[in-house]
Amino acid sequence: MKILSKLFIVITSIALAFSTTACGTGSQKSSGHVVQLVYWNMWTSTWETLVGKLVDQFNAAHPNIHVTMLSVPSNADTKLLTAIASGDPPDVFTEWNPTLGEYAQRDAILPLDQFMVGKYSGLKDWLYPIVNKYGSYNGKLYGLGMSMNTFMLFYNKEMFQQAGLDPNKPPKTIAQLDADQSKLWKIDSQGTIHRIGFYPSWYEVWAPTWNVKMYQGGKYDMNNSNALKLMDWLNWYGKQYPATQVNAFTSNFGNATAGDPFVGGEEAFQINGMWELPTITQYAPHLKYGVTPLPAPPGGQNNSTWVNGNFNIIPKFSKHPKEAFEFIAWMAGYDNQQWAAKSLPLGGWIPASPKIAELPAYQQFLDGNPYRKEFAAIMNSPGDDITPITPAQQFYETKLGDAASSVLEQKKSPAQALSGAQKEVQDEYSTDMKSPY
Amino acid sequence: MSTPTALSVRTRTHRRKTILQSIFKHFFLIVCSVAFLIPFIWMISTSLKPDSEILVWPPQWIPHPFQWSNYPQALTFVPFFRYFLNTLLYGVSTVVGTALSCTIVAYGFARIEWPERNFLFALMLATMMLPYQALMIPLFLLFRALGWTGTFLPLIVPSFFGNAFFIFLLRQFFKTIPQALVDAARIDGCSEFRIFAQIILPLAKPAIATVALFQFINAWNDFLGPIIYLNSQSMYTISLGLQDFLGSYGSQWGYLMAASVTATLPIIILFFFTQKTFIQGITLTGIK
Amino acid sequence: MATSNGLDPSVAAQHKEPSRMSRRNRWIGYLFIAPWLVGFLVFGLYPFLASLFYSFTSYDIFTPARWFGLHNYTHLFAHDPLFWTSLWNTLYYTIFMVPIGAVIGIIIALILNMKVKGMAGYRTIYYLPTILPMVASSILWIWLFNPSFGIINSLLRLVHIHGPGWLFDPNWVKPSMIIMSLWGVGGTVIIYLAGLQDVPQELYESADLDGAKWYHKIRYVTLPMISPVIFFNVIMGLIGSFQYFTQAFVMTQGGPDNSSLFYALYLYQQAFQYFHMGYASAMAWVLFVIILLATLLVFRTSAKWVYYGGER
Repeated sequence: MKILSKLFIVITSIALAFSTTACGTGSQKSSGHVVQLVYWNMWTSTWETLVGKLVDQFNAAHPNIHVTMLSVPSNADTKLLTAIASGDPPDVFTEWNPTLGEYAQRDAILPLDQFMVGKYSGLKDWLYPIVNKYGSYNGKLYGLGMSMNTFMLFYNKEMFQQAGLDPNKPPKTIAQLDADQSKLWKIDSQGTIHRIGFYPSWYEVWAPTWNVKMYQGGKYDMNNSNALKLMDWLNWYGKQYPATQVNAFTSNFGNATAGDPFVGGEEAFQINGMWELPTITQYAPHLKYGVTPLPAPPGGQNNSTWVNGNFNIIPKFSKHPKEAFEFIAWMAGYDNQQWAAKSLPLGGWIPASPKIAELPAYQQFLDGNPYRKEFAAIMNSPGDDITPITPAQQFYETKLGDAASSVLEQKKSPAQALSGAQKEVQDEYSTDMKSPY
Repeated sequence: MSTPTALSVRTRTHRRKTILQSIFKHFFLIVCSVAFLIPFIWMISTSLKPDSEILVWPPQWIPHPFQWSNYPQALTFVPFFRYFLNTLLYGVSTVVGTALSCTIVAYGFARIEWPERNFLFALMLATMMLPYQALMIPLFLLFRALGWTGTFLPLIVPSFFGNAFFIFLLRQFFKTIPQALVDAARIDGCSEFRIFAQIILPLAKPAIATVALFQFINAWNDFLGPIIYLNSQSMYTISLGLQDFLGSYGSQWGYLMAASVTATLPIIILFFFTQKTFIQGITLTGIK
Repeated sequence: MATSNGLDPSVAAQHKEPSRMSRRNRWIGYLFIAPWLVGFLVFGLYPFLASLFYSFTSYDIFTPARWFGLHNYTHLFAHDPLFWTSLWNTLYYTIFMVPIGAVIGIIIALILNMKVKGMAGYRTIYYLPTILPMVASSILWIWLFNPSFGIINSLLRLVHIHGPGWLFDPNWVKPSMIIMSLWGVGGTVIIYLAGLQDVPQELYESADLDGAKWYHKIRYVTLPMISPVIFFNVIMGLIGSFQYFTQAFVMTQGGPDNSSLFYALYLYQQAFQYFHMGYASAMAWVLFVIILLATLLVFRTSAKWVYYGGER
C-alpha cells in the first residue's frame, strides 16, 4: 500500500515537472512573422521593473519583433558563458562588467559594424566619442552603450562650515582637496573613526584627471610616471590613515551592504554618479551638499571624468542578430530620441548620445536638480577616459585594485605595487592575445 | 538491599541531583540557543523595519514601528507564490527520486558482497572529490545535447539516479543493522529485494527521513542549478526570487528579510512536526 | 539457525558452490546499484573525462581546446604563487573545521538526545541556520561581524575586549568563516541524532549495571556505536571543506589581500573570470588528488576506530 502511494506521488510529480517544463523553453523559435528575441540582463528589484517597462514599449512599437526579458540576479556572466558555449545564447545581453575585450577577442560576441548600414550608418558618429570608445575593440564596435555614468566629487557643505571652510568653494586642485579634507576627519582617542574626510580607495576613477594612460601601443604600461604619481598620492593617505580602521568603517556602508555613508554623514567627500542625487533627495532631503568635478593635480586634466556604464552586446550564435541590433539601437535611443529623452531620466541615466541630452525632455530632467547638468556636460569632456578595453580587462582591474590596497595598507611601496601588477597583467595579456588558441 | 532510611536518603539526593542536572541542561541549552538564534532574531527584526532604520547605530532590536507591510509588499513584488510552487515541485520530486534511488543503491553497497563492490564504492566517493566548477561546462553541454536546458529536467532527473552523499550516509546506517537479521532472512529464502524492503527500510527510517529532509532543503535553497538551467522567469525558484531584492545600487533589505523569513517558515514547521521520525526509538531486541 | 542439510549457514556458504554464489551476488549487486551506475555513466563520466582532457589543453570556452601537454600543471606548481596561497587557505580552513565541527556536532547531538522538555524546540533552533537561504545568512553575518557596529564586537566591548577586524582583517577572515560554518553545524547534528537512535538500549542498561558513569557510557558505548556516522561526517567534512567556496564568493571575493582566496574560489576565477578553463581544470584535478589522498588516509585509520554493529 505504501509503495503504491509512493508511486502515485512519483507519477504526479513527474507529470507536474513535465507540465511546467513544457511552458518554458530555452530557445525561442519564430512563430509566424514575429521574430522572438531573448534578452537577458542583470537588473533586479525596482530597476528590473523599470527596464521591463521599456521593453514593453519596444514590443508595442515593433509588431514584428517580440522581446522576452529575463532578469538574471546573479552569476549572470557564468550563465551567459555556458549559454554561448553551448550554442544557445540569448539574442541580447546588457553587460556592465569589464568583459568587452575578453568577449570580443574570443569571438564570443558579434561586431556591430555589419549592422550599421542603411538608416543605422550614422550610429557611430551619433554617439558620444567616449561611448564609442567604451564599446570598441580593435577598431570595431562590439558594445552599444545604453546608459552611461560619469563621476564627480560630492561634498558636505555643513561639514565644511563647521570646519571653517567656505562651503561655496569646493577644492579645485588636489592640494586643496588634501588640505580641506584633513580638517574633516573625526577620529576618537582610541583610533576609531567616526567620520572620513576623504579617502582615495578607488584608483582607476582618478586616472583621467591625473592623465594616467595604463595601456599604450598594444601593451600595458602600468608603472609609467603619471601612474606612479597617482599611486604616491594614495600612499600619502595610506600613511596618515590606518587602512584597517578605514576599511572597517566603510565596510558597513558600501554598495554590497547598502546604506550610504555620504547620506548618513559618515563621509565629508564622496565620489559618485548622478544616481546619488535622488538618493540624497529621498533619504536626506535636508542635507546641504555640493558637487564639483574631480580636482586635478598640476598638469592634470581639469573637468574630466572616468566613464563606465551599461552596454548591450549580441552574443555569437544569436539566431536573429539583425533584429537584436534593432532592439539595442532602439534602447540606446537612436531612431527614437524623443522616447529616450523621456525614459532615460527614469533611471537617472546619461544617454549614449549628446543628441538625446540636448532634447527638451531631457533638459527638463536636467533642470530638476542644479547638478544634473554638470554630470551630463562632463560626458563630452576631451579629458574623459575609460578602462582600457583588452582581453585582460578583468584581470587588470583586479590586480590594479590589489596594488592600490597594498599601497593604502602600507604593505608595498607604489613602485613595488605597480611594477608587480604590470608584470602580472602584461603576462596575462600576452597569453590572452594568443587566443583563439 | 539498603535499609529504608538509607534508601530514602539516596532517593532524595538522587532527586536533587536530577533537578540540578535538569536545570544545568536547560541553562546550557538556552544559552547556546541564544547564540544560534541571534542571527535569526536579527533577521526577523529587520524584516519588520523600513529600510531607513536598518543600518543605524546603535542597532535597534525592536522595530519602531512594526512595519508589517514589508511582508505583503515583498511577497507581491516578486511572484512569490509562483516561485513557491516551483520550488515545492523541485523539492518534492527530488526527494522522491533521491529516496527511491539512494536507498536501493546504498543497500547494494552495504549488504551485498561481490568482488568489484569496493572499487565501485570508492569510485562513487571519488565523484564527489572533483570541484563542480570544473564540471559545469561539460555538464551543461551534455544537457544541451539532450535538449533539457531551459527546463527543470537537469535539476530533477539526476536525483533519480542516486546522490553520492546520501548513498554513503545510508550505507553507513545499513551497515549498522545486524548481519544476523539479514542472514536469517536469507536462510528463510527471502529475495534480496524483500529483505531490503521489509527488513532494512523500516529499521532505517530515521536515516531515510534525514535524507529526505536534507534533499528537500538542498532543493529549497539551491541557487546555482536553477540560475544556470532555467531560462524563464515563471520557472524561477525562491532562492532566485530572493536575489531579486539585491540591487547593485542599493537593495531592499526589509523585503529581502521578510521574503527570507517567509521562505524559511514552511521548512521550520515541517521540521518541527516531523521530529518524531528522526528520533523514534528503535528496539533491535527481539529478533526472532 | 540451520540450513536444510544441517550445516551452519556461513560454513555452508563457503563450501557450497562458491562460484554460483558469487555470480548470483554479483548479478544482484549490480542490479541494486544500477540506478547510480547508470546515472554515473550517463551524467558523470563525460564531464569527468572532459575536465581531465581540458586540464591538458589551453581552452577558453569559446574556441576549440588546443593541446598543451603538462603546461598547465607546471605553471601551477612553479609559477603561480596564488596556487599555494589558495591551497594554504583551504588547508587552514579544513584542518580547523573538520575536527572542531565533529566534536561540536557530537556534543550538541548528545545534548539534544537527552530527554529534556521542549527538545523539539531546541532541535529546531540548532537546525535553523542550515535552513536559512545563503543570501540572507551571508548578509546577516556581514552585519554581525562588522568591526565597528556589529553585534559581536559590541558584545565584546561590553567586557572590555577590543574586537578584531573580522572580515576585514587578513588574520581574522578565515576564523570568521570557520565560525560561520560552525553555526551551520545543525546538519551534522541531525545525522548524529539519527545515528544515536540506533544505539541499542540494552547496551546502556548493561553498562549501568556495571556501574558505569555517564562519561564511561559515552566513551565505551555511544561513540563506538555511532562511529560509522562519525566516520561519514569526517569524510564528508573533509571533502566539503576542501571545496569551500560559496561564502567566500558571496562575502569577501577572496579578500582582504587574498587571505580568503580559497582554492575553489581561485579555480572559479580562473575558469569564469579569466577564461582559463584548461588551467582551472588542472587545478580541479590537483585538488581531486589531494582530497583522494586525505580520504584514503582516513579510510586506512578507520579499521581501528570504526565499528559496525551490524557486522563484526
